[in-house]
Amino acid sequence: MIDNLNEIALDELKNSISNMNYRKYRLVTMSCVDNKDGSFDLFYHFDKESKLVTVKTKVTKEDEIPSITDLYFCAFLVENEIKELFGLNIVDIAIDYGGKMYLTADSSEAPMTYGANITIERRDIGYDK
Amino acid sequence: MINSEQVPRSTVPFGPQHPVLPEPIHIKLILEDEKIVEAIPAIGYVHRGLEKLTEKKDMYKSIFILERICGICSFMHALCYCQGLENLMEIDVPERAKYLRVIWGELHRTHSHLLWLGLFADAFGFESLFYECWKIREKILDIMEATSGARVIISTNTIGGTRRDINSDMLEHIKKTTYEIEEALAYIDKVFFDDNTVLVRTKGVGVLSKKDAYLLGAVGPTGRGSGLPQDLRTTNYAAYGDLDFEPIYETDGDCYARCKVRIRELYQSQKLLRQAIDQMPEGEYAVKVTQKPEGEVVSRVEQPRGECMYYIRGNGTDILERVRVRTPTFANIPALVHMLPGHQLCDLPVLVLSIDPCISCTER
Amino acid sequence: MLDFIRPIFRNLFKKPVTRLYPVTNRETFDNARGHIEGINENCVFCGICAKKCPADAIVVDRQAKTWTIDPFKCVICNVCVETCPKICITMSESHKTPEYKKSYISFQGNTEESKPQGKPTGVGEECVFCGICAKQCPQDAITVDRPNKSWSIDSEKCVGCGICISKCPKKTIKC
Repeated sequence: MIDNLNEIALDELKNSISNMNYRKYRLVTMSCVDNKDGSFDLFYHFDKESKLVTVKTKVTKEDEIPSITDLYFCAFLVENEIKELFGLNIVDIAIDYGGKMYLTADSSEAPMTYGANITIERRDIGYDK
Repeated sequence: MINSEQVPRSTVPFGPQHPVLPEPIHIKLILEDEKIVEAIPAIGYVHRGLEKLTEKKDMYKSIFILERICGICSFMHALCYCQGLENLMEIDVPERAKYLRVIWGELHRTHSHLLWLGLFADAFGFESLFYECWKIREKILDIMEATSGARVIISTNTIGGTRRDINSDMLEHIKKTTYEIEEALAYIDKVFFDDNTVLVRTKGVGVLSKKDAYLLGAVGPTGRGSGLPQDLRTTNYAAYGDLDFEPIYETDGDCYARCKVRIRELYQSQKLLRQAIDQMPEGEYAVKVTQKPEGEVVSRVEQPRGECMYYIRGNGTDILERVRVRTPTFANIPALVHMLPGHQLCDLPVLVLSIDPCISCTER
Repeated sequence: MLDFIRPIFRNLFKKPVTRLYPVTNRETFDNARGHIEGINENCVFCGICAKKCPADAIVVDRQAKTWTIDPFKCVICNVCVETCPKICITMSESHKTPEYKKSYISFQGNTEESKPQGKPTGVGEECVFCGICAKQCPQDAITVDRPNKSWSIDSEKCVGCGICISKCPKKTIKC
């Protein structure tokens, strides 16, 4: 139920984004969702005069996803975020933190993916009563 | 005369701990003498994984988690999330709840901008002005505690309306307070607009052109200070469609313009509050929700710092599959990095604060 | 130039804005969310508060009849107070004072008491088997089979919170 959603294949991605750039759209952000079947939905949200346009593409972990920082420099933070939290292979980012923007050396890989080794549990510390 | 290539370069780390920053952000600065030539930001000191946590809790509990992304604009986060889910489940929110949301939203904007004005004054070393701003802010915090029960994280939003109502006596009191705030602001806005100390530190500093601001995705007062009249309140969410207002923008693009936008927005918020109180309808303020969210939705609201975006995907159960949050500071950091080169090191605190950074928002 | 002179002189002749905190306390507002004080003996240990708590701060043990809250986990959202069917959790309007030691607030119910009051025993003829009672039951003690028109309750599981009785659209649940 997202308005103005265009679904495209991965190899058309760069063309589509440069088309948006040419038409003077502002990049709002990118979103990534794990479909739980090994594929990921990658959304590119654009805005022009408060109207949202979204470009959607389907990728897998093996795919080489081109960075859009040459067209929209402001995407470098979100591309780094998706790269390390979902373990996607985004190449040629303008400022690449090498998967260590949020995560530290000893944290688990790609924690936002489905089935990542993250446990969120309630812990009772047991204060003195 | 020394050739610029012969000036030795030095690297200065700015942050994560710095007196001007309330929150941790690290900027690696390459300096030529005192001039910044390159800036590389590094975030990740307060990443809490709140997006992951929402995948484990049901959608009603997630409201409280998402409110804690940011203390200053907590209400707007809950508003954006609830509006998104309401659109997804096609719930008609009562009219009164929409007006209540505008009132609390504008109260939040007022307190956030006053807090920022104080911090900004502190950044260029004007301590007494800092206290003057926070003195006014206290009036807003008292209203928030009286109407919702808490000073900052007010937790009044829920899916299908609001959790509390505001009675007519309190509405009159809020209206009275808006005049008091305008009166108190009149004393200090002159200082921000005309005082020599402020002008020397802010005018012509950190100029961001309209084109750059747009391409770098600057939002909120950062973008509006550069002449982009983008204000999501014009998309008529909540009850903003019934209220009369125009987006405020300045064309200079420097720190002074961004400061001016925020002060003018403070006056605008008081007017919006009075309009909302005058037009407020009687009736219910919440509806019962029986539907379950299924599908995906994008919801956007205008926070004090700019545009906030939520992407929500539900799978027909109480527990949402994905909640993705894009906060305004996340969009403004590239603009900040673009602004820095060419400035003196001593201007850095003013520049960093002029985008109103909220790092715990950025990293969630 | 020198625009701050005016506020400075104004401030010289005004009362201080701040309070001498421990000596003068601020008056609390009505319905302010200060801190959870505790629970009274009306509690039937239904566990709704524990289920709804966003911070997982409340633990309810039905067998041992204990109700415990960790005030250092509590986010003071007021949800437990609003959802309690017996309206027995109390919220104080004053904020919590600093403490030397972390500790729980707990309540021990009377284990001698054989049966809590108000356990539903059956339904009248008006029952339409809508299943609302089963949906609302915090302990999932009620089973409604719509096709076979049967209504049953597991009295072991039931805690007698009274939610089903108040939610029943036909007001037909007997106790």
